Amino acid sequence: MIKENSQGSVGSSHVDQPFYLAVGDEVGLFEAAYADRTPVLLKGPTGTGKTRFLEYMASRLSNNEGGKKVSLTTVSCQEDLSASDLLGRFILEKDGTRWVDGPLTHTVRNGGICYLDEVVEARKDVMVVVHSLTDHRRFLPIAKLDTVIEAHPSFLLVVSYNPGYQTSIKDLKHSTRQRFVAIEFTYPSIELESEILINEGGAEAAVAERLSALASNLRNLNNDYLIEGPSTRLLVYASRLISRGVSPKRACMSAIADVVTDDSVSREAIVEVITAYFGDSDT
Amino acid sequence: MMTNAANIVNRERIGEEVQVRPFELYFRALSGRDVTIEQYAPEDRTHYPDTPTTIRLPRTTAGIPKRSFYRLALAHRSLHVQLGTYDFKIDRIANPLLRNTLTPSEEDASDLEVFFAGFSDIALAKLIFETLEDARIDARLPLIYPGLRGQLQSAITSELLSRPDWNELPPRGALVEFALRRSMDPSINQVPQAIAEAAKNTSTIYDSLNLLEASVEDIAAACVQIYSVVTPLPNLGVLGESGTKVLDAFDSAKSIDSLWPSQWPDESRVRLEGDDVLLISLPGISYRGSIGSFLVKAPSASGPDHQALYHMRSMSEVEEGGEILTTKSTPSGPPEPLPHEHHDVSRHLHSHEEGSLRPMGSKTFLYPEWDKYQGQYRRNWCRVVQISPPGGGALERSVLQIRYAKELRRLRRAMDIPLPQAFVVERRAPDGPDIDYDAAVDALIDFRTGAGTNDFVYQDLRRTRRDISVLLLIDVSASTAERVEDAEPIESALPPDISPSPKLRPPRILDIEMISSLLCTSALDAVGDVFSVWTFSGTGRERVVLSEIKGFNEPMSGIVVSRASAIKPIHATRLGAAVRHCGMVLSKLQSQSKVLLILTDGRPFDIDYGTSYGEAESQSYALADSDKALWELSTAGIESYVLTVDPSGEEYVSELASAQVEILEDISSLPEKLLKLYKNLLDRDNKSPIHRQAAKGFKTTI
Repeated sequence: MIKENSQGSVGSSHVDQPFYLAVGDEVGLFEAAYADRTPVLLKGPTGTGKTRFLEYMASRLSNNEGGKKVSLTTVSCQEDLSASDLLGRFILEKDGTRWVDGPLTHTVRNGGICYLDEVVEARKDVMVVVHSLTDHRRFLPIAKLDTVIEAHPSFLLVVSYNPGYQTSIKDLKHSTRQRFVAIEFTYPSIELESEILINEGGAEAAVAERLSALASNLRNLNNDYLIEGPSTRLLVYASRLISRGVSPKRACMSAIADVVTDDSVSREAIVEVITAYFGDSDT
Repeated sequence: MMTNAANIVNRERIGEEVQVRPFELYFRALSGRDVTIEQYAPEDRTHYPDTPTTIRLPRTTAGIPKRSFYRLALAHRSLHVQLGTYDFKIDRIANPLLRNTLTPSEEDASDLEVFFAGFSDIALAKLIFETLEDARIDARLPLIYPGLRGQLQSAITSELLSRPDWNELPPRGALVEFALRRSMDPSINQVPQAIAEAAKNTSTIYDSLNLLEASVEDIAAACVQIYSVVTPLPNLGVLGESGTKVLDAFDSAKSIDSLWPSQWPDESRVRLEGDDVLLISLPGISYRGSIGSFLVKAPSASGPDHQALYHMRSMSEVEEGGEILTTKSTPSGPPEPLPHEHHDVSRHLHSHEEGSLRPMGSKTFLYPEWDKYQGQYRRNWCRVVQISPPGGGALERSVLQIRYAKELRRLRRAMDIPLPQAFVVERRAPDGPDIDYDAAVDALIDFRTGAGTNDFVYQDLRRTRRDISVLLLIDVSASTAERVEDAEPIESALPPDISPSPKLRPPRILDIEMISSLLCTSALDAVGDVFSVWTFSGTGRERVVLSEIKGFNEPMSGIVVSRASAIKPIHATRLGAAVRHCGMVLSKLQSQSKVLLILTDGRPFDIDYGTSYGEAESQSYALADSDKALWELSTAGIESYVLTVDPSGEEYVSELASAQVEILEDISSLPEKLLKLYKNLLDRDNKSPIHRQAAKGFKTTI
């Protein structure tokens, strides 16, 4: 089932597709980028649906391509992830060595979307190897094999990062940034977020609306008082706890207040806001 | 019925201590605006209204627990922002006749100013407007914050019980009192006989308003109507016992249009006959506050709106005796908190209890002190109290970033040194991007000769970290309150849009210390380094206070800035105990290099820091103990640096031989100096024997 939302973009609750509700025009933008295989940079705070969006788009593009599956390979980057981890390595066997493709090489050979999540967390050499994949060349040189692999026609590189809490040494360099088109993810509106909570968290409409409004208020504490406000993901967790019979206040304290801060003053303030929405009782 | 026991519990809860800082953040969350909450005593009948940056709430509450009261009062105020009270626009008034009469007469007049200029009794108009607007807010409040529904009901019940007897009011006052009660209880239908007709019309106007849908402009229009119902009534004498009348149900057939004034703007003047007075003075609704007096500065409202309302209020301000002060100027308001608070030091002056101390509560630590005259330590002589300051300072991180953007850019550039993201190649690793061929050959030989298998055949890159921990310890003793007259003045900590003409004053030593450390911390945070900031002061050996402004693992954030800007200069400099505590903190870290960087403005001193040996000897005693503490650190592998901004530092720095001491002649260069010092530490750390050893051994630095 495909439906239009108020912005004219689309969402879907098809059983074969992950649930995703478009916040803006990101679906159309991504489809346009994919048509020309233009690399995509997803920016946005934690828990705003970047990964889910790609899962949805991979599924949606598969349908658009007449059932020809567009695979999605996700690599969660961390500070010890090196270029070799992406490209592949030789494995020692009893009769010698055998080359094993890394996830990037595999996707370049076989096609699909390769998604480097939180790419700035990876070692610097990672960005070097993707440069040739993100311009007109679309190939991947592998020095250890002394070869160059042409990217499969369906290959697309997507990276994401969260500019909110990165230090400048972990920021993306402009020579890298300017190889992508960027799609910015923000927190959804209260109405959209409520719909997400109903679908994903099984929340009743009234509870979903309160949770979304609560999160919207708490995001006013971003940067100055909280590193990051509650994500939609946390609200989904709170919804699920409530659906399982946990009192709304307790669920919010567990899924929101105690997660987003360790500072006692900020926590107390958050609990007061929770109380304004869900009352004093935590049983 | 509430039992006696329940009553006792309730009274206890009403008087409970409530920390205001969480409620300041609560208000920020609800409204997006930063404020300071000030508490006033209930007996203070002259408490001043809120300002754009200060909300004043009672220290104790009646009828509703204090925490609930604060929650409700702040939610009510936040809804004024959210629901557009301050975003009043003349061109959104639905009634064209009223709208067309309101033409700005002056270029800089706000829409609210123009609106209220149409009334001859502006104070009365404002009171009616506030009442109606508060009713609109309260109607929406339970829908927006359902958790406050019960608290709102309790507050309203309590307020209705404490309203004045309208039979003792003049007719006009009684009708406004009816409007006030009606704003809390739409079902109220019994009114004094003498004002029954006017109350019925007032009620009709209320009923015609759909408060859940109404805009502030609809409220303004209703204000005009109720004002025209109220003003014909005399404001003389009192109603007396005229009997009550039950109002009819809402008469939908009655045209609301008939309640418009026949002429607008209101050109008539309220009659002054005999003892007739202009002002209607009624007690307010405690949780609502006063919207017309600088409550908050809404993002879309201009400053003059609040100025206008405030001036209007002051035009007919009445003192308690009832005298009309028609030209009273804007009250100056209560004094803001002093830049620093000197607590009662004198009570500590005679606390020369001999002997060891005991810990008192968690986060207290006992340390010895070196007695140079006895040549031995005094065991458990000082008690350090470690606190995590709650914040509450006026300075925001965003303001810091905007106001000192140039300095921050410069500092970040200064820190843009080659970062030690070096790696060492670890050979014979169980996993890695490359095969270690020597290890692989060995493994194959072992395998083929039946000597066993070995998986350690790879080589890996291991990141070497900048393995240094630096703790910045800042002296915040009372002497840092001294202003540096020749330094560049700093502005008020308020953002420019709220404080349009900040008072420029020379900064205090503490201001420079704090801003320097925050700028450095911001610069270091931006490049990913860790840095901890502490302050210290004290009131004798029994209470040396160390405040953790920023922990090692804590990112730079608004909370850190808020904590730092809340620190006040206070008391003395018992350096030895502070150094020993920082040494304990640093010793728990795993870093290869640990550095204590002390920033002070004078020689160590405390009220009982060796004073038993005489005043002259106490200086030497304090320096000897401080040096001993620094020496203790050096023996534990912790380096220490003392940076003093004391121009007379040369007289005593030689006595702090266990640390590297530097006198800073120009305090304004402090940020650069701090960073330079830090960079020198890093350079030295990167060339440490450990790294050189790694390069020679089986590990290779690349």
